Amino acid sequence: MRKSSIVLISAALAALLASPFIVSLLSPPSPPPRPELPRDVKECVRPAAQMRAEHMVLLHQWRDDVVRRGDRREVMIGGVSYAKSLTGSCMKCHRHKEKFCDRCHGALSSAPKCWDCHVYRKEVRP
Amino acid sequence: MIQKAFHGGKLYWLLLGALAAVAAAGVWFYLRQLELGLSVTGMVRDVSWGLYIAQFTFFVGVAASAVTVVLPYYLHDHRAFGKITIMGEFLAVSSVVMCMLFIFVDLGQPFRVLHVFLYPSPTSPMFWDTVVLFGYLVLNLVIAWTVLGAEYRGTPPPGWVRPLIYLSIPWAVSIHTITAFLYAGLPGRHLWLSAITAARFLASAFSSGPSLLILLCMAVRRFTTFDPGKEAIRSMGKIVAYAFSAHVFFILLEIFTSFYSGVGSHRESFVYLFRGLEGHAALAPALWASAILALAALVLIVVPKTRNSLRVLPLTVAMVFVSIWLEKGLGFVVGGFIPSPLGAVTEYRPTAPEIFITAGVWALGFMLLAAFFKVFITVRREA
Amino acid sequence: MKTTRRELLKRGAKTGLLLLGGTALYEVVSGSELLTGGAPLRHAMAVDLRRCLQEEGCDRCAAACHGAHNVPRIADELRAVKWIWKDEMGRIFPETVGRIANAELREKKTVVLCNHCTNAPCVRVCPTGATFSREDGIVMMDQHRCIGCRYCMAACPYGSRSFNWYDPRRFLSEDAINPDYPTRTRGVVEKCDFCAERLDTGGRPLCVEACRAGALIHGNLNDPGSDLRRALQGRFALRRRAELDTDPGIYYLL
Repeated sequence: MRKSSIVLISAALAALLASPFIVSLLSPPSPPPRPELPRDVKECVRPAAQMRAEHMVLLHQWRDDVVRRGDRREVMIGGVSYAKSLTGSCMKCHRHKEKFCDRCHGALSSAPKCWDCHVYRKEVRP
Repeated sequence: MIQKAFHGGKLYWLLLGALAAVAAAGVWFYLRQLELGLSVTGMVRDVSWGLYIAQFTFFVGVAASAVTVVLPYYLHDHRAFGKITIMGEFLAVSSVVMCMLFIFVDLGQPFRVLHVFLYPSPTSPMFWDTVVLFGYLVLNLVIAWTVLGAEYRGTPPPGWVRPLIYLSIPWAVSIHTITAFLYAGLPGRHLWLSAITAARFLASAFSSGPSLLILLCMAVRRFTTFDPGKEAIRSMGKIVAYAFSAHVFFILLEIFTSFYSGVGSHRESFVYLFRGLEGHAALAPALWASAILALAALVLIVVPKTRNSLRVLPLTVAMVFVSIWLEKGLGFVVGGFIPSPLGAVTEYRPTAPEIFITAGVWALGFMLLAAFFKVFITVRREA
Repeated sequence: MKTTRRELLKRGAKTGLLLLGGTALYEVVSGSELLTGGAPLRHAMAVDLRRCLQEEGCDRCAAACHGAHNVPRIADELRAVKWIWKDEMGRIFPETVGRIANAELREKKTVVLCNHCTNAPCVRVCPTGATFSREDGIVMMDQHRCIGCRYCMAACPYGSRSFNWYDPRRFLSEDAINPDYPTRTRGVVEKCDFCAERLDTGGRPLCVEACRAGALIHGNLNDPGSDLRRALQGRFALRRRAELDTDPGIYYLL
């Protein structure tokens, strides 16, 4: 292969790889996702900003406490006691996965695998 | 130097094209496996490892066998191997890549493969196997590429590569020893629970690897302008003769202990493999074929006249390769699971998707090998 | 994700040290993940064969366990998922019962499950720590970590482990799923976890609760006053393949 054709092919490849970023830079910003917050409960286990940024860190800590360390003690926050449980605590307030989890995760194309195993059933949610 | 892989005649591109077609079929079936789970394979609850892990085990041996050309050349100054050490190292690189692919396609949760590094578990031989295989891959790639690169530029190889070459020798032994430890440390699997498993693996590796290398050298002689030399090929024949004798000897040792001791649990897997248990004998034809090929090949490789004949040798080493492939790349792994801990005799038959995926991994490995050999041969011709 | 990255770096550094020979093997695994031995609590169980063998055809223990733990009901027996099930005495104890002449006794069935070995081969071989020994003797699975390599299945000398060859949800009807316990996903290994979720909150394993014959006795093996120790007192007990020194936690009372 000639040097010029190698350069040309490399440039084309680079352009192809960069195309999604270029397209998104040129297109107007999409509206931020609006997850629906529970109406009856005001306080979460951590401040909203922290939950927004680090909810997976907290979930992983809870998971490791319960599964790996056998530490199932409930956590007391603001006088309320919470079990360290995704379905048993989080989903008790954030009842609708579609209106809460999925809105942000969908907008960001991030697909955590929680629900491959943990059971979310619309009809049993009040 | 890599650009040399993109220049080739019709035959070269035809070969790559054919291999790519097989690899594509493998990828297609792998995507099905991703979607449907490992239920598309013939593996079951009682025989939970099959063709993939058996092929992995077999190719770790082929990878380790690079040492059989590197050691005589660098430690004993066996000049005849000067022409083929790099071929041996490239064969090792391709084999390790195949090993990694075989492990990957065997995983139930392939996207979590990095957990092995995220949660390193030093009590697990599998963790150490991953570490040494990666190390071996890097070592051989760096060594082969540097030495060939020096030749390409017409300079002597840099001094720092020498210690790496020496390191690669015990490292080759380590990859197959640790692969044997995957099996040899498991209580209750009597076909595997044997102190000579690692020794057996090395003996079979040092017969199957050089056998494949001899066949590759003959092909290179026939289809390219490069001649690895008759002396090199005959030297490798000698290595196969010793290693293969040791391999057959080790198997006979296992059979003696298992049968003479009279301990039933030690005997059962062998009985299953060669005669069958409770009317199930799916692997018996393969194991008998392996045994008969082994005995015939043993005579042909030990007798100097037939060993040194470049007409007979390819046939002999092909028999060695097939015999070990059947014994190690099929019988050893599957046989260890039968009978099950609860005494059930469940047979294993690989399915079409499983065979296609396996063939796909082979094809990818041989594409890589073809490209490496192309670079090597072109550099050699021009140097 | 700050914490995770730091944790990863720490582990990486520790492994680095290990490769240089600077750290003892056991120090790399964090302390709580290793069984320390001689712990004040060691969960174990006895199967009273006199009672269990009389209940021919009874599978209440398995039904209760599999129902509550969302174990898929797979018709293909070769790829079935099982936590606790009944098998023939002769096959469970091949080296003893398997060799007696009385075929009727050889073919009688009793329960098998994970033995929760103190010295568990599955724990030793797991390349990610997805299977680990708890200090109280439970051999636990962390389903989030399992990569599905099935090395544990090769290592288990009891055949107590099952792999999800299929997507297990295909074999669980929507209304039969217990929403309070996760299912598993395709491509991971699973087994009995001794009802860790119940033991941790002071309960007993479900199989023990479900057994009407009173054949299953759970308790603390290291407490001389426990129900289990009292049941073991003065009776012969077999453990499966004791010669392998895995130290199983399931005792079969003769």
